[in-house]
Amino acid sequence: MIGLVIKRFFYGLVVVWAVATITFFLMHSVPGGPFDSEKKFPPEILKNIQAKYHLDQPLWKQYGFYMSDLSRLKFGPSFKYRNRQVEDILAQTFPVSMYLGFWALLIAVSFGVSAGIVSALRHNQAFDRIAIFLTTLGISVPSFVLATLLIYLFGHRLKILPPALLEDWRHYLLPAFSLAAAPSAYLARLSRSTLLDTLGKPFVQSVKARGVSGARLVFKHLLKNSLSPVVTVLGPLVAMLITGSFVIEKIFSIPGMGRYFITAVTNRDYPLIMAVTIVYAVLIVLMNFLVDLCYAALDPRVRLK
Amino acid sequence: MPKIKSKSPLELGLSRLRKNRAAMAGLAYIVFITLVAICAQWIAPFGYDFQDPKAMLINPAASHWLGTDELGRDLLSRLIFGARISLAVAYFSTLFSLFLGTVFGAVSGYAGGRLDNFLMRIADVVYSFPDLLLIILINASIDREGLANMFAGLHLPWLIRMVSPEILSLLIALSLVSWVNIARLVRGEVLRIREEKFVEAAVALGAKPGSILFKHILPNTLGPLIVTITFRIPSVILAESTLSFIGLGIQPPLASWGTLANAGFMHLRFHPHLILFPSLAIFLTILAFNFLGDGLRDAFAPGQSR
Repeated sequence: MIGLVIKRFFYGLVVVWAVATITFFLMHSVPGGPFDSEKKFPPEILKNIQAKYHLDQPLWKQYGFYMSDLSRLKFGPSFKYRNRQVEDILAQTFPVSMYLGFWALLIAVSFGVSAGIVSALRHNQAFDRIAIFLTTLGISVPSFVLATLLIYLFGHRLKILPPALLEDWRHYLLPAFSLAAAPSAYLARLSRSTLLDTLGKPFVQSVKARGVSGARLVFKHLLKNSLSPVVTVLGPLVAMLITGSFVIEKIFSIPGMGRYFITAVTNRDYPLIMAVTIVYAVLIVLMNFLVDLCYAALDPRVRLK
Repeated sequence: MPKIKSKSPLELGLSRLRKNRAAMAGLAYIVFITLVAICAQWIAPFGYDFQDPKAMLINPAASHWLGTDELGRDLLSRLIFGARISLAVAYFSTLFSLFLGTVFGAVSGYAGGRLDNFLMRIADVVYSFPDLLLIILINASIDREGLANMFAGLHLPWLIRMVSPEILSLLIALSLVSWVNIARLVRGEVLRIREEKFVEAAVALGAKPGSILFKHILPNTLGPLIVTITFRIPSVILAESTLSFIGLGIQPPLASWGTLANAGFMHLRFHPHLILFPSLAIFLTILAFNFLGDGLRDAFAPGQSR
């Protein structure tokens, strides 16, 4: 077990390093610097600015600077928000996104998995049909369409929920639900199909023959044997929430990492773009690591490998 | 004795597909919207950038069926021209990623060993990353002017004039991310089919590796491949419209459906039709492809899971 943890840790470190390196060179291959947009600077001032941000050095030297800073968790100054360090921006925006993402994940898992279980147990009945229809809608509706629909309905027509910004818990409802929609549809489909799969196995017949039924059958025998594939999608789920946050944070004007990332791309604010990408990479690697651990804990066959 | 006519697997699959109403409705809609996109300039009542100063921000009416935006541009016409951009981006990037994915997957699965390991590691990393994040990063780092110059150097400047560097760069970014799904599928299929008896027979008859791969293995991946492609197209439409909606995709004055939805978002409160119709176009198209994909999977590759 400890061997597995150490191995996965180093593997994760290599992935994060690779992501950092690739984004660094991708971003520096972009033509046009961050300082040659709106108004032209006099050449000597431009030179000064470039010296400040090490932009006058050869690329490999810039890479060296960046990596040594990174190892001390420093991401350098932002190009756009003058006098602000990227790590300060992250410290401010990351908790906002995490909080929203956490609620969305909770909604997605509780809605999705329970809908999946019920529709598998009521296979081909009315509930199942409706759930299938709704999940097809759920994966076909882009999140921005759903979010605008919710804003229009609850914010502008019924006027019961605020259409934007974050102040109290009521402001979190619409964004959290819009963010959770696609992952819940995905989870519902997945848990339905794995549970149906388990239901067809011979051991279920024998358990039923012993007279076990109802909640005991579902919780004690079925779920334990069919939920490990659901645990493994935690990684893709986090990826879905990240992409969802780009859109949702923009629509609801939420000051989270996703919105800052989008603005950074438009502004060519390289340090911020790279920092956010690295944070996402760490998040995904960490999630996959957790998934591996859970999997090893749930399924004894994995531990032996 | 009545003569029993035997049916090929293709015929059987097609007859199963024909019975699936949702899939056939999806197919009909896809054909319709594709024809609309191709014939845009003959169908659209106005040009995509024609401004009518006497009719700014009007609701759906007889003169402008779906209303107009703040510059007096006819929404219906803009949607029809937008279909061209949205669908062209989706179709062509799927085509490129089909090519990339098949080459990668076939080489990886057929060669095996270290090369396979290396290629699949790359695919794993690309796969575990959020698609949209990668597309944004690649799209942001493509040199638009350089692209235009390159096509001019290749004596293909008409291509750039026709599609604009911005669309082309989005197309490249989408293809470079989307190939991974296809590569993984093709590799899996190649690994499976390689062990089949008929391949063994072909080897025993002295067929060359190239001809085994192209004549015996790849044609047999076609069924699952078609299903996967049908599901790739809506996810590309989703990615493109999302990017355009957050302002990192197609920029005005060009307009895809996502760009139109973004422009309409400003007017959500008082002129909701401006965001309603583009959203509806995106949603219906994605739904149609998902219905068709489900139908194709049930008809041709029943065992394949989503």
